[in-house]
Amino acid sequence: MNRRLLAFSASTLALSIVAGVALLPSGQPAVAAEQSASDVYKVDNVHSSVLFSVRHNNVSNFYGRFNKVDGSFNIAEGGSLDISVDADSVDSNNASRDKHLRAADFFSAAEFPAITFKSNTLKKTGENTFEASGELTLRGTKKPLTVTITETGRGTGRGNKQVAGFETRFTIKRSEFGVSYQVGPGLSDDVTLIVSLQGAK
Amino acid sequence: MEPAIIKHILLGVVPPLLVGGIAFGLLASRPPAPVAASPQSAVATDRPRAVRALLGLAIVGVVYAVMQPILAGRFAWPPASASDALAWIALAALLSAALSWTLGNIDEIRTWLGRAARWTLRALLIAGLAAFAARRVLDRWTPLEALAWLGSAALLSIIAWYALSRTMSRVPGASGPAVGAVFAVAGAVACVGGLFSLSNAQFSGVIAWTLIGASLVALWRRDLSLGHAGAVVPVLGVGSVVFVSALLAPGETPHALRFIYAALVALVPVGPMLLDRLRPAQREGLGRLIARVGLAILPLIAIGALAAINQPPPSDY
Repeated sequence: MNRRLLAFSASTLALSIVAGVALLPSGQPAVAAEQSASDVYKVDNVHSSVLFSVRHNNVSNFYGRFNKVDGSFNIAEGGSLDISVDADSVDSNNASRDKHLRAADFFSAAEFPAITFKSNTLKKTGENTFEASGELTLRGTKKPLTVTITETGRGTGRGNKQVAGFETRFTIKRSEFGVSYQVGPGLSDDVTLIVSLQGAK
Repeated sequence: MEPAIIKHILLGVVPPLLVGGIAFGLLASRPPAPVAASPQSAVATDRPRAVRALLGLAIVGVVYAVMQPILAGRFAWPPASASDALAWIALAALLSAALSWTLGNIDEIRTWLGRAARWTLRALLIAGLAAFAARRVLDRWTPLEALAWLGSAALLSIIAWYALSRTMSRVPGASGPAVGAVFAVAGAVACVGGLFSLSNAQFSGVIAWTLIGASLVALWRRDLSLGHAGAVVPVLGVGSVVFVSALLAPGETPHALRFIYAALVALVPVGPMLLDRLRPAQREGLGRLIARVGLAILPLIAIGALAAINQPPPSDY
């Protein structure tokens, strides 16, 4: 065996050992971590929706939306969510009310420009469902929050980019976040958020 | 207007008006301070009146410090937002009123601490409170922007403080607390009409209604006076809600336009102060009462007009 062949055999053996170790059960986290990094989708603001619903006068559910959402997500066991909503982008279909919503009585957007959710854990709970636990920060108040997430699909989008989507719906008490303006029958304390995001990678 | 808003507004009107009226009524029902026969110092003869003034401003301060967190529904430490900080500023206003009374009424301290030093301390107090409330926004500004904002807040507040303390203390009677009430109403109108904060308007309203209660009592007890320190709670209370609302109000022109509201609110007691300076009076007659309150109302009308031109109030949707 000449020296070149010996070197080739040694390097092949070394690669096999590395590959073998990677395939062993103890090597799974390394693979998972690699997959996690490649599975992170950046939020596509144009095809994403963040809606909120509040009960008005105790007779109807009023819906509004935020027009700017950013962040990234990886919907998988051990994945993550890091979502940021621009408080200034609130849209209630009334320009005057939008200004009120951005001001001190509600979101205080000049002081707290972003509403964020950052997950700590993400567990698979069903075929397409996951449970994300993390922290919601709204108006400078950070609170733990657990939400159920439904993966709505994966595919190929424009420019052959991989796209994925998910949706979640959850209810918070706005007074717990310091948004205490007119809490009562006129404007409920409970606010339901419907977050449907599409991301691309 | 929605029933919930009406209920909320009534909560900000009825308790301060009742407490202010009853408390000032009890205070005014005390016999007037006896005038010392001996040729002692004027301060000695004025002391009972000064003590009554202290009780008067304590009423305004306590009503404001108690009602503010009740209306806000929150009393958080550390304050998460500028709005949360208002409850602590209400408390600081109450303490500052007591301190201001002490600085102005204890001869030894008044002499030792000169007039310029007292006003410098007041300006620093205002800048400190403004920085405390607005810290999260100021952090994102350049030092020059932050300094300009704090300096403007301190300057406008000092103008209002000086003018209001003069107006409240120069001639006893109903017009002193009435001008203070107009000042607070102006702050409330600015918050509702131009700065998009009905909550902060209510905080200003608490001071207004307490002082309206005091004014009504002073209509029949003409010797009622809140003294120099009586301006502290209105100035710090109204000033903080106006500046916080202006800071957080959304708008295309960031700060200049919103400062017009603060400037107009600060102008409210200036007219009555100039009237007293140009045409001094020993006692308050009906004409003086109408003239002082009328002059105070002029900037309030301007605020209302400006707000009406700019936007519909939050209750319109």
